[in-house]
Amino acid sequence: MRKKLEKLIPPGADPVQELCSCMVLLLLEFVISLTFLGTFNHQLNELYVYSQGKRIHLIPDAVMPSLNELMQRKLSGFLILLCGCMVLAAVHYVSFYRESKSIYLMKRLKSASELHKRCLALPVLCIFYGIILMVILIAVYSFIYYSLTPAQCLPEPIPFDLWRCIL
Amino acid sequence: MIEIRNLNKDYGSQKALQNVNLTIEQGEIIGLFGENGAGKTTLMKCILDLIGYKGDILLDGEPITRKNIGRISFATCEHSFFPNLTASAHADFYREHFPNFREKRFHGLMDFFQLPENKKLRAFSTGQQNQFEVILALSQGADYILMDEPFAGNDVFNREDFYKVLIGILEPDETILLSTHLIEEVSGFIGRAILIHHGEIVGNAEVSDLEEQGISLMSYIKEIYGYQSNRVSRALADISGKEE
Repeated sequence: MRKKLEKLIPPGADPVQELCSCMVLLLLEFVISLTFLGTFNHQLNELYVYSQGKRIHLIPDAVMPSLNELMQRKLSGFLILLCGCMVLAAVHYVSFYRESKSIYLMKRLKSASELHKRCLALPVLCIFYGIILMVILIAVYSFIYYSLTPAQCLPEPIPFDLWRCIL
Repeated sequence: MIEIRNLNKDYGSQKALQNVNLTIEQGEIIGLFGENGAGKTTLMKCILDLIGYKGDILLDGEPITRKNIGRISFATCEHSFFPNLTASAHADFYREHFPNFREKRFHGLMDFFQLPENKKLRAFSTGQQNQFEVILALSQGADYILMDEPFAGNDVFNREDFYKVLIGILEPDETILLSTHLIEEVSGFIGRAILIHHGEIVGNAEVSDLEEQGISLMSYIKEIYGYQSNRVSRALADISGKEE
């Protein structure tokens, strides 16, 4: 695993450190998305009448905000991951000019793609896993939303707006 | 054979190389001499296609591309190794990317210079880094080995040992283009001297021809550059005069 990873990053870069950077970005995307649960819980409580801290009944005609509204900016962590990966790629390219001019060696290799592979492979992989994580989070949060919201409180179905979740 | 035809290179308004025409036959050992900024490094970088240029540079009649670039290696005083990689990891990298990598020569030279194989290059001294840079260039398995001031920072004994080793290990079809200021040190080792001045080739002579004419390499270079031998005494006289 370590050997395989070493071939996807600039020669001499620490694979553990590189992997940690990607894990931090993915973790950040996950943690930011967790705020959905707080927002959802708050809005769910708003649907009920309470007495002495206990739910009594649903407020008549109460409607849950749409999933799009509750998910607003909850996946903005993906945007941070995207920026982080761009910075990581730039750092990889710059590393071939730092302390020595190893870029001269990279330019003398038969394979022109080797330089780009070593600079871009890990950031692209990280973005790929970021997208997978985003899809999983949307699926889980959609499931929570539709399974825990009382059926009569669900709003009219509207298309899911991914950009609203991210930006 | 490397053929350089009508090579021109500009850095903005500054002409770095002007109409350079040169042929480097396989198996030659050539010294490339010139003052700082004369264009020695630029010439090497053009051959390696590291920078853009106008003109033609051909390797056995073919333009130098990724396809044949492996036939040329480069040792530079700027260093082209990976600072965070160990020496043995460099060998692995070269083995993977250069099919003609000379394993035996690599380990032989590492032993000769007593360089540690499992230490990161950034932890090497400057002298050791220079040695390693040259070891990589010699071990790549290239037909043409370009060296740009490879011994800057090495002591005289080290350099002397290196020339001896180099002469001993080079095979007849290996070509060296060595850029250096250490003219006298390499005079017994090179076969041809190329002089470059303000981006132009101003001298190109076989060392054996010079010897036949009873001219030392240093004298030839001084003559070409119009070196004034009384320059120092004149300057000293001027300086002393002012102080009086």
